[in-house]
Amino acid sequence: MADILNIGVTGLSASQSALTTTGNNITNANTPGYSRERVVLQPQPQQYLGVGYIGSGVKVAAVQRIVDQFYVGQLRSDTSTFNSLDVTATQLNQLDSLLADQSTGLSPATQQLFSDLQQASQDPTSVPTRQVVLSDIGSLAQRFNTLYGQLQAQGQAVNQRFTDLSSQATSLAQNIAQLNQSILDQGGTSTSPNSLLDQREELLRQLSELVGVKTVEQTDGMVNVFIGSGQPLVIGNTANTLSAVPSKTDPTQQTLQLSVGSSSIDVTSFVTGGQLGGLAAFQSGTLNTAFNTLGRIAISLTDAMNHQQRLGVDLNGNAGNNLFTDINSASAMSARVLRPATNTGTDQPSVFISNPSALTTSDYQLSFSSATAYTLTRASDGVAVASGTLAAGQTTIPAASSVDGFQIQISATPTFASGDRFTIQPTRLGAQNISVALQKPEELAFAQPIRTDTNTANKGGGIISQGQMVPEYQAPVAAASFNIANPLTQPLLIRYTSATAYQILNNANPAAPVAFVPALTGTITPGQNNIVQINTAAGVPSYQITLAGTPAAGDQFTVTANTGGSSDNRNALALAGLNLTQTIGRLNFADAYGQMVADIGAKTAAVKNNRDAADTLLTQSQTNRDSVSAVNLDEEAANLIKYQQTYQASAQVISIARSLFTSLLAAFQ
Amino acid sequence: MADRVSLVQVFAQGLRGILSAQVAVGKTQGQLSSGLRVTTPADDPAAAAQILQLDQTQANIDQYKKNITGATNNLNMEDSSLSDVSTLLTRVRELSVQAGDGTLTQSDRQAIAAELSSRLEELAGIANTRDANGEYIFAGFQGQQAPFVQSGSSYSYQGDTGQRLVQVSSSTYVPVNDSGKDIFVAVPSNRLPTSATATNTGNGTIAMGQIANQNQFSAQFVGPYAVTINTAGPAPTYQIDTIPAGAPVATGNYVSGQAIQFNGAQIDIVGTPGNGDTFTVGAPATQDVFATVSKLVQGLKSLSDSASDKQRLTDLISETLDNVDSAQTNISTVQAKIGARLNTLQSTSDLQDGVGLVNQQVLSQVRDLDYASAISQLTQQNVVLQAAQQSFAKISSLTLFDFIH
Repeated sequence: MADILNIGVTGLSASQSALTTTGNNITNANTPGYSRERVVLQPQPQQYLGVGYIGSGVKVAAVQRIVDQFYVGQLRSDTSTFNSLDVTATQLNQLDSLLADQSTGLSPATQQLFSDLQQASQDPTSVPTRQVVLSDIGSLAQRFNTLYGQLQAQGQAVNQRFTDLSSQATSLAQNIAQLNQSILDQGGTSTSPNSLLDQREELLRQLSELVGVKTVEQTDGMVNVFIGSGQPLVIGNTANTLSAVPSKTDPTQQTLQLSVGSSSIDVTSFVTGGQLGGLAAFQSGTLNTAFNTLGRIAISLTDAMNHQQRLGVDLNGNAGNNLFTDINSASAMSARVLRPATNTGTDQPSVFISNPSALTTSDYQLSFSSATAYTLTRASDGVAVASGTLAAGQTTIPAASSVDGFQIQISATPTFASGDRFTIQPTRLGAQNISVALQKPEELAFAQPIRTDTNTANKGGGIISQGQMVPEYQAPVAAASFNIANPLTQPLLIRYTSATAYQILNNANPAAPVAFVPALTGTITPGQNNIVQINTAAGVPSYQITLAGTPAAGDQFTVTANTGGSSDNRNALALAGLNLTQTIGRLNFADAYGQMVADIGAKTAAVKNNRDAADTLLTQSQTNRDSVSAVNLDEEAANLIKYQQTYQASAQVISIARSLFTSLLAAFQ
Repeated sequence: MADRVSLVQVFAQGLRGILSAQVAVGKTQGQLSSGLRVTTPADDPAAAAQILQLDQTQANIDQYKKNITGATNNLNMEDSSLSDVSTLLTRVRELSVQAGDGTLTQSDRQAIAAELSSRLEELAGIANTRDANGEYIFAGFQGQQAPFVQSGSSYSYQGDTGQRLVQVSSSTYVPVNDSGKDIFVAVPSNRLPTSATATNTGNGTIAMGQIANQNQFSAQFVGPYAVTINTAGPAPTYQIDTIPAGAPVATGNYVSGQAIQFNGAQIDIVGTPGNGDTFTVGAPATQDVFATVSKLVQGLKSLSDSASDKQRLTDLISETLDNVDSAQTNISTVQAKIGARLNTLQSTSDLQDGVGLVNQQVLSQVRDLDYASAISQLTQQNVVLQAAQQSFAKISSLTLFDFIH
């Protein structure tokens, strides 16, 4: 009877444990990371009673945590992937809307400017219409500045996120290290401290939201955590520090630094997955390219419009001044080179942009392997675009030429040192630096400095065009060209010596034109357009005139300075025509911007699709994990009934034992 | 599918279904309210680039159409000014013919000269026409100063031959003005410019030469020529030489008012030239309308009723009529050019309209929402949302605990 009593008691105690565990499961049904537990029951050892073995009740062998490590690992990895793509999609979305929006994008401002230039070309003397153009130029510059500001704000937000997320990751790592210690203290794998294991698993999952991790479980129950390509974040009970610090090569950007003991390494380029991985990829890929693409458009636009404006003559009859601040101002040139404080040489080179249409959207790295041996590497594809040894007195890299549209200017007595590195950013600040230089509407150069005239006594049907300054882009090929000192102020007389041959004379004194020395003569094909180009004494193209028709011998045409030509709109038309001119490689402004918008749009669309796919995978692995480890209340309800019944039955066993004992006692009364 | 569904799964899955259905409904609703299929480039990157391009094309077309309107106004204004000039020249011609009436006395002619003077002023007024922006339309590039300024009895041209173009399509530029020089100053003439040497001692005058025999003129006349009068002999003679002097072209007896013909050209010298007086005859060039009228006015004022002056008057009237006719023809030519430009503007405008329409259609196809399909999509998405909500409510309310008492 004592046996029966004891068996009943073991039943009661086991049922109680089971009920407690079930209750614990029910109350933790909504606890994040909680894995349901199960009481593992075992029969007590049996006793041999001669005829056979009699059981002696039940015991609780273990409280088991129901997990599938494969699903847990999968969940972590999918969490990393999803968070990486999610944060990238969010950032890209912001950029995408910024560029395409009518009120924030570049297109409306450029369209407005070129439309109003067309309008002004109809009425070149009107100061109010000129004022409209000048205002448009201002708002276009403003739009560039604003876009740059928005990109910069986004960059700063990314920097801030780097700081926040890396400190979160560090604190998670510290908690994991502490839990490792606690788990070890509580017996590690041998005793299975379930709630601590659950906590650690949840922390690891949270960490994987921030950064992709790899985990290695040691035999003592502690878990080592690695990020990137194997950089240790947690080793046993020690956590390393992940922090965001300004980049050595570009102080405006934060990089991720892992401090292990007293040494620290830059892990930005290694980190993948998680929000940090996503942000790092967004920063180095999309955001920097966006800065550079926008900058390149700004630089090309500035240079093309300045160039055309300088070819013209303003309403006051003066040569045109720059519309925008010169792209190669001293401050802009030196701002294109970042000099890390770690350089031992003291030189600060600058970058001169010689051909904006050849610029790329990449940054460059200038490094010195000795005081004179340099290599210039394009960051986008890693190609060394220029390398060599500085000659004595050399002031440019590369010497006497340019690469990708720019040239690095250095001191004639350079002080570079081996190991010096410079980050070259030709286009990065373009959109920030664009600003209007012209103040007065009268100073818009809508006219061109020369005009032509036909002698009234001409007998033939010869025609001379009005003359056109040679534009920077797409000048028609001239049939003949002549070098003349100060061509814009030098009056010329073109006199036909026969129906096909002409001579160009110095017409400074119209009463007595004199021949140049040596004589300038040429021939035309009557009835066709014969383009004649006048260059400066140094051979720099200045303007072109077209001789056409069928002139007769003795016919004369003159080219003079366009004094007082306020109604001339040739340069206004040329400025308006820049809209459709291929100024950026083979693209015009609108196309270049359209390409940028489409590129970022396509990236956004792709990342969103990938994000959605990763979301599905994440849901799937969460479902898998929950299916194994999460609590089902119906199941627990059934267990409650089951264990309650066992408990009641065990109590009944005790009751029977008691009544048996009572019966036995009664037999002796 | 897993064979065990936990509590969190039931809720997460149910909620997820509802949320994603709501996102879909929200997106379609956003499209319906904006009418746009592509709201950000990410919705359709290729379409986004195309939209930017089409927008730009549309903006260009709109601007070209504005330019066409402006150019049409300019040209119409020029055309109407030229019609005024034409009317005025007709009146000048009438007056010239009237002045040629042999019965008129000098005072009658002076009355006609007075009217011609005021006509000349009127002509200058028209030639100095300004447009709505205050620019002189016949001044070439010198639009801010009056192109015709009185100098002596006539007017001189202060402008240049600049011609302003307006862009009316991506490749078409149309001139919107003509310089006063081409219209009024450099008028082609079939009269030969002549002049008397300033040091002449006699009172011989020479009228503008004319072409007497076109074929002979084309073949032989090279100009300029010098006509020298010799009165040393019993009868005055003339000799015509090329400049610089070569073999004499023609010689003959000089009689006042009698036409001299050589190389297909004909000149009239009237009066009594001194011995050795010379006159030059040039090749046909251009004439200035103002000078023509002004010369007529001077002649009508000064020529007396003497026989030689009568002869001079006849020559002057004939020369004026010729030149006025040339000027009329010249103006008609310019007006024809303006007409052609207006035609170009009209056809370009029609073309721009057509291109604009196609552009709008393409833009609409690329960017705009198909309402029918969007609305049916919205309905469908609503059904999905309702189903998700209802099934979630049903499933989540099922629990075994309800049955344990």
